[in-house]
Amino acid sequence: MDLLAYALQVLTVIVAPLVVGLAMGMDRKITARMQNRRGPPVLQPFYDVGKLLSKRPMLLSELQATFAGAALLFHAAALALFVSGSDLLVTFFVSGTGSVCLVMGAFSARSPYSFIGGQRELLAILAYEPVLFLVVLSIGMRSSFLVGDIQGGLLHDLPLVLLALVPVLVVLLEKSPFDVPTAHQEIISGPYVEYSGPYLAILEVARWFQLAFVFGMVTLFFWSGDAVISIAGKLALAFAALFATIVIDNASARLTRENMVSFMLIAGIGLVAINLLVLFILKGSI
Amino acid sequence: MSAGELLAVLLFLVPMIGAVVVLVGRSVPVIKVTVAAVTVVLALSSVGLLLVLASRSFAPLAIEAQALYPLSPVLIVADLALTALFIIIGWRLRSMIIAAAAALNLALTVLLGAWTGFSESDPAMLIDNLALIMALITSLVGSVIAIYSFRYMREDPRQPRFFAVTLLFLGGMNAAVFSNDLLWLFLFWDVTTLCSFLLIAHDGTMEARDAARRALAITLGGATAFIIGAVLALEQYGTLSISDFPVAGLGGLALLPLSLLAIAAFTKSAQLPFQSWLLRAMVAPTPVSALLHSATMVNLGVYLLLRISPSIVNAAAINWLVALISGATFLASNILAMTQRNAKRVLAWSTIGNLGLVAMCVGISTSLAIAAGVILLLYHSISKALLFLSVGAAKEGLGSEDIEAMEGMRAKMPFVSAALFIGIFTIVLPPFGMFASKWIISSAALTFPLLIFLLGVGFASTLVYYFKWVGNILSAAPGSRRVTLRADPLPANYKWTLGSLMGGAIVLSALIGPVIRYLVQPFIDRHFILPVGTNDLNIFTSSGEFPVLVLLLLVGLIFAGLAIIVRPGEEEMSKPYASGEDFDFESRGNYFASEAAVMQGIKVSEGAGVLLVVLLIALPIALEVM
Amino acid sequence: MMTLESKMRIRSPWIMHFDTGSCNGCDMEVWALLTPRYDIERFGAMNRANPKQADILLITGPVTKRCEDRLRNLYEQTPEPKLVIACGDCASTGAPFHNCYNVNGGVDKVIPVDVYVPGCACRPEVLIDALVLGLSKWREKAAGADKEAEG
Ligand code: SF4
Repeated sequence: MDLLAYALQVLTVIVAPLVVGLAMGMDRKITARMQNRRGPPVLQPFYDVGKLLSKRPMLLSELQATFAGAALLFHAAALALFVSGSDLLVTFFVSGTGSVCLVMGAFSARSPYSFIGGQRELLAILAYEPVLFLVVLSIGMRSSFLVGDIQGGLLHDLPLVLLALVPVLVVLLEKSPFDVPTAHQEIISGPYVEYSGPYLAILEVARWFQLAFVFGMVTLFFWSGDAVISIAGKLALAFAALFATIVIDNASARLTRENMVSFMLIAGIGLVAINLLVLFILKGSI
Repeated sequence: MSAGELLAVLLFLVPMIGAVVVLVGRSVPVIKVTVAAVTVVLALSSVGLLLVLASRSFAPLAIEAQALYPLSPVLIVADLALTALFIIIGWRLRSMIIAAAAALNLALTVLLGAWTGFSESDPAMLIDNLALIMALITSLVGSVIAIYSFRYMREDPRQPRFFAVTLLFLGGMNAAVFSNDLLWLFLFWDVTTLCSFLLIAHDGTMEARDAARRALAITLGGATAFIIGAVLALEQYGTLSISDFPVAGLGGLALLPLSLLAIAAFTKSAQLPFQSWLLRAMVAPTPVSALLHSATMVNLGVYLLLRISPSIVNAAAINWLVALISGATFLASNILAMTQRNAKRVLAWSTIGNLGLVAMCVGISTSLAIAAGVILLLYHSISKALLFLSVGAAKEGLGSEDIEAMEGMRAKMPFVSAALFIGIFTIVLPPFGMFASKWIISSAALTFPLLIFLLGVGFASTLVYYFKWVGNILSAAPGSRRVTLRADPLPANYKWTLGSLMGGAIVLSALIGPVIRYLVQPFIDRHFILPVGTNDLNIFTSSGEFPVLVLLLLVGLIFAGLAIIVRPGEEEMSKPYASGEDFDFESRGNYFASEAAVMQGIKVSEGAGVLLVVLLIALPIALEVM
Repeated sequence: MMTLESKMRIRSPWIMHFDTGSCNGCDMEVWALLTPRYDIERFGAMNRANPKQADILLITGPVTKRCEDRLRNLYEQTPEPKLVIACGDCASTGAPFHNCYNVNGGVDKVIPVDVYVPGCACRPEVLIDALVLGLSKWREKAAGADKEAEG
């Protein structure tokens, strides 16, 4: 039994980023449909990664490769910690380290767009990390920090906290109005600009791992005793969150850096605070 | 005299004697030999003390005043003389505030002395694990800084003065953390005040004198709060012995001594609204900053808070105020650090923030939080010393402490860059020591939900200002000639001192399990019930678990492995993309706010600090009246 | 026989467009490719605006003398394997600007070109054709490489 559970966890760590890749394909398809286009095939992200892997590598500095690899491994480690049911806070910090590695990779290639991209990515971190941190802490406050022990009741008790995760996802998915770091018309693709070929593929997969962790946090909000209902509900919740970000993406234009930081902090912190306050008033304790 | 007592006495007496020798000897060889000898004694005795305490399974070591007989009368005289000296200094500086505060201190010291009949409360010194940790920090980190100064201060004409004061500082600090008698603690508290004043003024420029005067005014004001607190403590609790402070049932006026001692601690640890002296102290030579920020001085403030934490924890009327003041300090200092471009100022704000975090732990008042505070204090000292000393070495190579000047430094000064990276990583990133305590604080803060909002923004700001800096160092032009780590022409002195701190930071991170179990837990256990259980590889709390060693191995593997595997060939190197142009660009970091906005931010946060501090004094009085 | 690699490559042609001094007529047609009417994203193409991440360079204009170095620079920054498509008469031959003192007269004077697209301005439909042609050339190249590898 133990071995089986273990195998299942390993499988989840491998499959989850693939599911995210598929979701990215769906994202592009849905976006295209919203813009009255046909859009690429759903498997497009995998074609892209495959193609990138086959291209000739090209670098500015060997540290770029180091940090790309580090980003991948940290995000993968975060997902593994998450799936194995360990501490959510630690998972959050490890995943944050992965994001920081991306920034360091961007800085280690001395190039104008990459430099600006790194600066902006730091601002994005300033914008979404506190909100993510608060989400993690409110989950811990409500039930437990141990992912394995978190069961049910979160959606009911912390609806606004879940809502606060949506803008975080907008930033992480690099979507308007908060695609400030990678703004493709202004600064090409920000921190990614000096990455090409296999190294870009590594970063793309790292992003999938990261998103798998954050979407995993979204799925924590739904829980049911019945495994089938539980999994269906979790997937539905994650898809709903993704769909919300797509709608926001297509209905808004990019905001400035300052707007991003202030909106994220005010709205994110505000939502969590209101949620906790209401909970406190209703239940008398948190 | 037992071995433990002997070692303890050595720890504070030898540096003081060394200081005198340095002053008398004056020539450089004498200074070098003396300082080296003192550092050896300090290192050996502090480790020896650790072993002695370990052999008695960390039961606190009490030293009666009689055991130190010839010392205690000397100390009383020294106490009065020192306070009188401050009056003279105040007079010479034409600062009425300093003179008045010193005069008040003198009067109150005499009053206290007369009241107790000039006899110490027993035990006069108490060496428990908290004191031991502090002594280890001061002795080991302080020694490294002293040795580093050999090179850094080599062209300074006032070396005897510098090294004498530094040694006195280390001795005073050790004595202060051993003291259990408030009057003794007050004496050594003042010794550190005097030393910091002298060291900050070391350069003798107008700016340095101004900074020193400001530091003296604030910390002496803090000393006044301290001594009033001591008088009230004697009146309220009937004792000057900290270990005999009541830990329960405090209310009304009985809270006032705690408030005043906390305020004294805030001045020493440069918490809002008293932070200004530490920032101005940046004019001093870099080893002084390192000393103030990591081995001595600011640590003493939070040490006092931790020392009286058993009483504060149960004083529910005021502990939330302590948490708020330091929480506000943490948030404000981290946000302000993002706006600075001078590396030392960034580090100064970061120190203030981290000490705020430690003080906040005391305010949160759960055993988990206090354990986190002690851990944070320990790991912060090492990393901060490493960072300051690296900035000093970088300044020697670059001629500037500006973060912008460090652009692409990794190509030119790989050793210093590596030291800065390790310093920053051990402060910010998991799974190093500082991170572990931040993780525990985050779970501990759940009992005080308001704080988690401050923590979230504060932690993210930390990432921003440190990695902006890291980014600048990393940003080396492609194809520029690289100096290899081995061929780095950095002086051997710097390589050894920085190297030992790097090694220390990493090894201690790996040993966090034993550190918590043997160093931190005995202190917590004596006063609280601690829910952090640890086996040597993992730390567990009631709400989560943290596989430190696994993560550390992971990080080691990631970086070492990647550095070995990824060796891109020449043909893989290309030019940076700049829309087809070939040029190097000028980069500017992001500092977000104008000078005026920063000043305003400081004013606002200082205002909030003043308000909270006034409340901290007013509340016990108000409670008494009602 | 086609390897997985080349299959992926053909399904994900990322483009970069560079204007070497055209009259902007062709540029508008190139951008039209991204609009819902032509939507080349359905072939997996994406506009990256970055040579390092591009597979196909869409070049318009007759390559002015000032542009020459930039064009070569961008070409060198594009990692192998790559395709160059000269879009419009200008880029193909330089004809509309024939005899001007300041132009090179065609992309192929500076870098190797794989596909020439005629028209002043070139039509989007033809551009899509060119893309398909380029990809099929690629397929041939890949097949050739496979054969070489086998033989
Ligand atoms: S080919 Fe015609 S439309 Fe195109 S750039 Fe040249 S002149 Fe303009």
